[in-house]
Amino acid sequence: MSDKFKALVLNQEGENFTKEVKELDKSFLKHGDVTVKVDYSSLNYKDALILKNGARLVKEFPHIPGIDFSGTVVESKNQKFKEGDEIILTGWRVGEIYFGGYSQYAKVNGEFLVKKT
Amino acid sequence: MILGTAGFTALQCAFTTKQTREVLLLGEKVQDVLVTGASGGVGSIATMILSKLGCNVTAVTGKDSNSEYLKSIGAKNVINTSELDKEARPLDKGIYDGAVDTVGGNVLSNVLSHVKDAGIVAACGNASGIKLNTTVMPFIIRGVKLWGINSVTASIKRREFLWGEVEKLVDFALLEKSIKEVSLGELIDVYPKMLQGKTSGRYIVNLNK
Repeated sequence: MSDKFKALVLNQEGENFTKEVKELDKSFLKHGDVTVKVDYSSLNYKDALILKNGARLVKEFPHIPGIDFSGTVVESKNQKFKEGDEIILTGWRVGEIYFGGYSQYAKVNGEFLVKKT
Repeated sequence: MILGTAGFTALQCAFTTKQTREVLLLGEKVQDVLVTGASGGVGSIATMILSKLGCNVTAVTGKDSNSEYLKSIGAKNVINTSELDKEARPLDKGIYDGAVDTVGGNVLSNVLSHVKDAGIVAACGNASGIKLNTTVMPFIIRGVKLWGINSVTASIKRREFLWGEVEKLVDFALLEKSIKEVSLGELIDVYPKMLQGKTSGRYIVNLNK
């Protein structure tokens, strides 16, 4: 993967809550053992609540929201997944306490992923 | 991703309302079902799935203008949310064999009072409120079951099973008609409309757009 990618980033400093599309470096992704090139995410009601103000579900900022995504594995330290696997992720508080799918790349715990069969 | 979290939640809800009662609880056939918040992501997909499973779906929406759309995805009847968004009687006329409630609040209270003997109400949302004002009557007189649906911590085993059923349960050609694709930038304009109840169907985010 290239080192730079786009993501929607939420930030909160004092009373000031911001959301903007930013270019990030892959070192920004700090959770998990499987890196996925994200093709699609979606807008669920919980996403809308989080985009408004974090909805008390997001504990740390800056944050990448998006509670689901689908895409292709590009790097894996988890035995169950290898480069090229197509996956879907929903739930597990991804997009809340972990970085989510509003990002061209996502890095998550492999135990959260369902492989396309 | 046209299903995503909303689709997975709808799969869980529809399975609970229909299969759980018929198969797991060895109950009678589930025919007439109610789906609240039917214009939304979970509600519209639950309407499609239950209709495909052979149920007569009554779709509940706050938007009368969506009536034709809801019928096009399988709803037999469409009623306005205002009919259910009022103080509920402990028991009301039993009309439905089961229900999927995506909104909570007063609407869910009324749904519980309208479900017939041994029906399952699968509840997964809070857009109408997080409070639930009800009585024990639907539960002890009719054996109604309120079944909470949580899509966050469902086991991988359950996820693999439900995703495996998708081809049988979802008409993708139909679903694709109600999908709107947006970019990350456009998302920032769309989400407030969802919170105001002004959106319908599913929005997917294309990360390459």
